[in-house]
Amino acid sequence: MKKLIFHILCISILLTLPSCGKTESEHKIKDKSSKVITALSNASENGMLYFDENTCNFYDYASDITIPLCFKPNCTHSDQNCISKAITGSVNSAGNCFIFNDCIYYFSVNESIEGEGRDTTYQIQSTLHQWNLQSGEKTDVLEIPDLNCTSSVNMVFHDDTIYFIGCYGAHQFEDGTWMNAGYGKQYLCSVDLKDCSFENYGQVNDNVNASNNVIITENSINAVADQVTIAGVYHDTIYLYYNYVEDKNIIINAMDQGDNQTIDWNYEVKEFHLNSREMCISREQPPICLSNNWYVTENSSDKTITAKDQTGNTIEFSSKNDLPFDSYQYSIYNNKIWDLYNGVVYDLSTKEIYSVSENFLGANVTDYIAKENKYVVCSYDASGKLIYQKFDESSLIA
Amino acid sequence: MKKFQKAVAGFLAVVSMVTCVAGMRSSAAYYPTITKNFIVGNSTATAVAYRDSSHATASTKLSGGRCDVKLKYCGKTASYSNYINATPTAMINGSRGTASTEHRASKGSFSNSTSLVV
Repeated sequence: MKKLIFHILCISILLTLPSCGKTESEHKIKDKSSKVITALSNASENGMLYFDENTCNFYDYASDITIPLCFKPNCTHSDQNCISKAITGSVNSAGNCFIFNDCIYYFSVNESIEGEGRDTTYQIQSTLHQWNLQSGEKTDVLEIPDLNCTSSVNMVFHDDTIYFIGCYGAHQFEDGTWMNAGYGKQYLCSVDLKDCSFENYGQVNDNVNASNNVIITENSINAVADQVTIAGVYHDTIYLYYNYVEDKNIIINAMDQGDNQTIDWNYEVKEFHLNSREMCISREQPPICLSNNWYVTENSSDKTITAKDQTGNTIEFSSKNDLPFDSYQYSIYNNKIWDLYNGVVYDLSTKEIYSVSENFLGANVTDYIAKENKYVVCSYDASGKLIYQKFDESSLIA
Repeated sequence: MKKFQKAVAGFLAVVSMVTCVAGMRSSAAYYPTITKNFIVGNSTATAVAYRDSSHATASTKLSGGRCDVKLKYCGKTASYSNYINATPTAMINGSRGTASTEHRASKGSFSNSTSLVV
């Protein structure tokens, strides 16, 4: 009998061992396997992360309420000991942080100039911080030398790895003064969050004319739109793009005339294959929005939107958009292209175009909750504060 | 009376020394940062200007919009313009005088600007 009890105890202990660490089902925030993180959309399976002026928030889809992003037991969320408040001193946008296994991660950068006069060097180092949302423990998990990792325009989270842009844009004048010269050389990088290993896949904006976006004079630096943008993931490939001019005088003339928003840019698109982890120049036009199944471009001259699926089949719509290419308001959810700025929805299944209810003009669709068949919409209240709410499709479409 | 005057003088001297030390301490640790929100249509943009003993920085942020920033410091100018969905941050190193900044943000047909001095 004693032997039997002993064996039962041993088996019980063995069965309990794997749950010593928290399993995915125990996490309060359920990570998506793949997603694009932008300033307005940092979604998990069960909610949306976003910042208001003083607090980092989590909009919980199931309960339809917003709570401070802090799961410390007995925390009153009222002072700087609360993670949701303390983190806003370091991060102020949902596009600059990410959550993995109930920890929030973000980069900080330390820049310093060593030496005197002309004999100085510009030192830059980024640090990846990890903040455990349940224990409140903060850890610096990785140091990345020679790159500023805080300026990435969007990030991709895929298979427990975060992909982002690291940049180096410092320039030294003859008198020794250092200045930032735009975003400078920009590299696609990743951190595997399972073991915090860092990879740099090479410079993205390596076109010979890419430096034309930065005009350096005797005592000034003027950089115009030299950032690399991570557009998203299509067909297991990350798409990135940047713009440049072949002649620097185009930028100089535009600046002299005070109009740098109508420059006729050239675009270069790069694709990074997530399976082979190789980056190359793409033949595609720069996308206005992406999903894993659809690559969507806009032709502003004949005002059409073209959506291409993974098999190469295309659907073309007449565009209602009057803004230039970089009209950031498009998103794809539930096989529909949402353009709430212009109040239009392009249905990729029926090829119909619908109007959006006037209540949602100027808002953004930022996620789709499949099991509830509801859309998460980001808008601003009367005081300019960000709010997230979920709506049925019938509420959105007029 | 003289004893009282001496005591008062001593007290004032101590107070002035403490004030001086406190003043020195506060000026040594004081790095001005200004954060200003400004409305762009129905959104809020944020302008930040910062200066310390080695450099000045300025940035403009507007989620889902375009941003410009210009920083003037120590006779130099750094400007970023037409940054989409990005938070351009200009930096100039130096340790003389004040820094002035200009910030512009736009979204769709709405545009607004502000300027700061740190």
